[in-house]
Amino acid sequence: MSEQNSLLTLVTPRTVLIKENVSDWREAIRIAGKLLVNEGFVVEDYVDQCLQAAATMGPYYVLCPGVAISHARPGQAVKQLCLATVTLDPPVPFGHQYNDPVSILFMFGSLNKEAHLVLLKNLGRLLTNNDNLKRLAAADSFADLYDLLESALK
Amino acid sequence: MKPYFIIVCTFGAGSSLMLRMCVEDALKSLGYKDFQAEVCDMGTCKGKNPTAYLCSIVLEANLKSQDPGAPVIGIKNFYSENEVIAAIKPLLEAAQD
Repeated sequence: MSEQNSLLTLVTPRTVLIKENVSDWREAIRIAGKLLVNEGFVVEDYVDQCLQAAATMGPYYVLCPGVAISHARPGQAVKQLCLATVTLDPPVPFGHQYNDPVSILFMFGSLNKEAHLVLLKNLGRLLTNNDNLKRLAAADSFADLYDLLESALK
Repeated sequence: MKPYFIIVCTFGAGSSLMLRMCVEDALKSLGYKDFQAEVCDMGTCKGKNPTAYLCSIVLEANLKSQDPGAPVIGIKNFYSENEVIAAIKPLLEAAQD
């Protein structure tokens, strides 16, 4: 896996949901988590940990306007480095005073404190550009979304 | 004095790493070549005496209560180099005096 493609390698039709209509942030986290559980990348407890962190600490993982990146502590609940991507339509409030509502939820799982560094760098490159966000949230299909990611990361 | 920033999040493994990247970029933009930026869990980052702690604005009050008196900067947008620069610049200038 080339360093440059960490994000692209992890984004597959089975780990992406497009324009989901959910009732609240908890449901959003649950459906993202279900993608990863279904693939065997994490066990259900990992999703519970993500929900628990959000419930106890608040929406600290809504890192910029419109984007949430949910995760829990690297550990045994994670079987391999993974990423779920869910675009939300309509956008959902997560309770963040400045960055609500969320239109893109990422959830990642990592094996240790380092394995996801390239993935995070890719996400960083992607998310410093506001236009990228808008286009991703508006993508109508996996193919659209993937093409956008690919060109954004060139 | 070498700038020393500690980036704090719940698990010290996700969001803090992203903010650390932004802090490193900000420091480089400000012309600093020698600095220290590390990540830390909430709860294990007391008494380290950094130039400042940085965290999500959501965690700011919590972090302040953990280490009263230490400078804490709550950040809204983890990808905004401008926001980080505006926040750390006054602290860095004060430290130079």
